[in-house]
Amino acid sequence: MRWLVFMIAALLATALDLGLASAMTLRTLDFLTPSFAAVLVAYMALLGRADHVLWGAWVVGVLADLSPGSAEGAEAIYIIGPHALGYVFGASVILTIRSMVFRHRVLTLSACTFACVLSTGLATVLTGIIRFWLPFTGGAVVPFGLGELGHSFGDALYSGLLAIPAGWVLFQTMPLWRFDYGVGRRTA
Amino acid sequence: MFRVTERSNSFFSIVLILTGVMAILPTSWLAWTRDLSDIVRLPITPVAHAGNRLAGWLRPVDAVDGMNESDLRERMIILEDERDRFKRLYHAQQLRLQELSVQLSLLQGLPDRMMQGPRPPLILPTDVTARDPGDVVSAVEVEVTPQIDERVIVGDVAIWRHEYLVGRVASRSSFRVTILPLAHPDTGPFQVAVLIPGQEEAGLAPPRMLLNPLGDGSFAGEVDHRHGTLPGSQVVLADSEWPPWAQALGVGVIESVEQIDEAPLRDLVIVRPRIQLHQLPEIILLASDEAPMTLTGELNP
Repeated sequence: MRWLVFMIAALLATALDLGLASAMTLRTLDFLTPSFAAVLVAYMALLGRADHVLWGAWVVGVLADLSPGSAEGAEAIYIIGPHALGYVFGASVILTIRSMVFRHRVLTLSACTFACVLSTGLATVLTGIIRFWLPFTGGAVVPFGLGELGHSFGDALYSGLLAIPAGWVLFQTMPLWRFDYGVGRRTA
Repeated sequence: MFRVTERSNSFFSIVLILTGVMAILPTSWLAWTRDLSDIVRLPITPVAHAGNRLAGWLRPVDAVDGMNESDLRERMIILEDERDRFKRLYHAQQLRLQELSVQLSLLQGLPDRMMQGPRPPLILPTDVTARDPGDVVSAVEVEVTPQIDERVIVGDVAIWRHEYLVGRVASRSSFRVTILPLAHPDTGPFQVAVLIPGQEEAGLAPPRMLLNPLGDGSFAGEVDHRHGTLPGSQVVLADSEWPPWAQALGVGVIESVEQIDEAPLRDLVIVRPRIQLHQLPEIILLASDEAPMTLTGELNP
């Protein structure tokens, strides 16, 4: 995998999540918002080499955790972890199942994006719960709860939908990436 | 199962463990993440800013239909701004009148004092450069222009369309100005006045209450049941802890009113902002005008 292409795509996806994604927010449905970064992680996880995928997912996650809109609390603190761990977890799940699916199908990417966003939501809620219960963390900076999980589920569904057009665009850029994933199961 | 090399795997495991540890570090130990974020934002912010502008253009928050002529639209915007400003001034004067009538008896016994009105604030329109559109109470960051860099301080207020209070400056540096939405739990409780249409026209003082952000974008407060507060009434800021020019700015509208069983003379009021900060592609900052003064007290040009 070309890391330069990956870095450009990662920065672009993070920037799109911070800017253009707001045009797609469902304002009447609890502000559900799709994630471009999750689509990228899922795309990479389907086609990239395993170790590259894990590192890539971690980098995209760290970028998301440090991105300008993610500051938590009045002190504008950035918690590194929820997205970084969530994307790695999501990518691991995709790496485990990818030999059993049609990697080059947009619908596969859509389902994998769903898994990625959901795993990030789980990681965020888990981080929030741990931060809430540990006495030294300074309270619940990361939001958590059933509402948060429900919101993540909605975001995951919406991101899965976004992955259909965004995934098609990503598949067109495949020659640029130079994935070296070996023998995969391909569609005819 | 997927395969990774042994060396890479162990190093990555260490990185993951460190990430997990960082996620649960005390808040006071994480100030350095702001510097890291400043570095990350360098390549991201220009694209995110452009995306926000595009999003604001594609889906305006308050679309005005049928105003295609640019000059007519400009005139409409000016008129709306003026209307909102005068409406705010009217509410502010009402609140001020109420305060003065309460204090009059006390002030009669004191020597005359010169009343010094607050200086008008600096009005600094700015674009939102980063926001989390999915989180109602997330902080946003705005473009740091030279004027904002020089004049804006922590505690200055953010408004929308000269009428609605949407947030307050939580932190600032040369790289970023972070605005915390009014509905964020860390903004803390603040006092508001409820403008009940009938009472307002009858000249009755508007009831006041303390509003607490609930964390889901709405606020809760308790008000005397005898005021007959109704859903749909407008709620405006009336808190002396906030800057003078923020008084009477709209906070939201009353969504529901429920009599409290344990205290039947009190009503539990849920207030929801007309607009949430994270929806806005641009806002206006009201900063204190700290321009130097001459010895005679006149403002320098």
